[in-house]
Amino acid sequence: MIDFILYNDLALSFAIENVITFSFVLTFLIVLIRYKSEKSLKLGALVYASSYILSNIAYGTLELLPNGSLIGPDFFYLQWIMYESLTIILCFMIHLSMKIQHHEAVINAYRLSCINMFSCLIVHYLAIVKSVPDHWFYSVYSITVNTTAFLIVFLFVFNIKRSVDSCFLKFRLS
Amino acid sequence: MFFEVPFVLIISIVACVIVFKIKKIEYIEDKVIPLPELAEMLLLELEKINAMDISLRIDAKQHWDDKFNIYLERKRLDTTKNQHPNLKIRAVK
Repeated sequence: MIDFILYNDLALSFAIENVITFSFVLTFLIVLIRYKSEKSLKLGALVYASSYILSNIAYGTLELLPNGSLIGPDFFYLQWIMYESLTIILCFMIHLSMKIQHHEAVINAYRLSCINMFSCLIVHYLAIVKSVPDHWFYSVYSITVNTTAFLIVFLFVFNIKRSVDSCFLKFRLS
Repeated sequence: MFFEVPFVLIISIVACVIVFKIKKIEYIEDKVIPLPELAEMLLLELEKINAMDISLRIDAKQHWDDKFNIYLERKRLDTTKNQHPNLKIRAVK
């Protein structure tokens, strides 16, 4: 049985974080070259790539600050929820202002970000509010956040137009 | 801690609402009156304006002209979009 203990292996988690950020930048370049006509996909890839870069920079900056000088230590998981929400809101607002229809991959990326947000919220409750030292959900969380990030990359790189709603509809009809 | 949690909760709720209602929001954005329907509406409106008092007619006609110009612009774009690509190039030249 594989035991996932990424959440307490900081070096490994930082390495994965950097790989994810790099793959988002690479994704944006691939989308820019391969799918020139897909405005929404290009915009989504750009917003997600910049979000991952900026959130990593912001996280690094906040880590350098002494505890309690700007924000409390309780903000650790909440900041990831904030970054995800701001990414969705910003991407949506740009689409709305430029009157571009959302690509199915971008909508699915939003949904995956929502899953990320919920898992962060649960971990915040367990680790910060309840102070539980060890819980099975911590492993689930570390797998979820990384898997969703790679799934978003996959959606953008392969221009996945399949809607989740239609998949459910087919499943229900069959 | 006093403002962080409510702030994060509010923006995450906004993000969730966007994600769950995105299809509906886009549908409302896309909903535009088709051109033939708009032409009929404009004709009916013009008939009403012609039956109006002369003092009221000037302002109403100006307003109608603006709407008619938008209709003409939409019709022009629609015609260009449906044209054959070769015809488009010739028209530009």
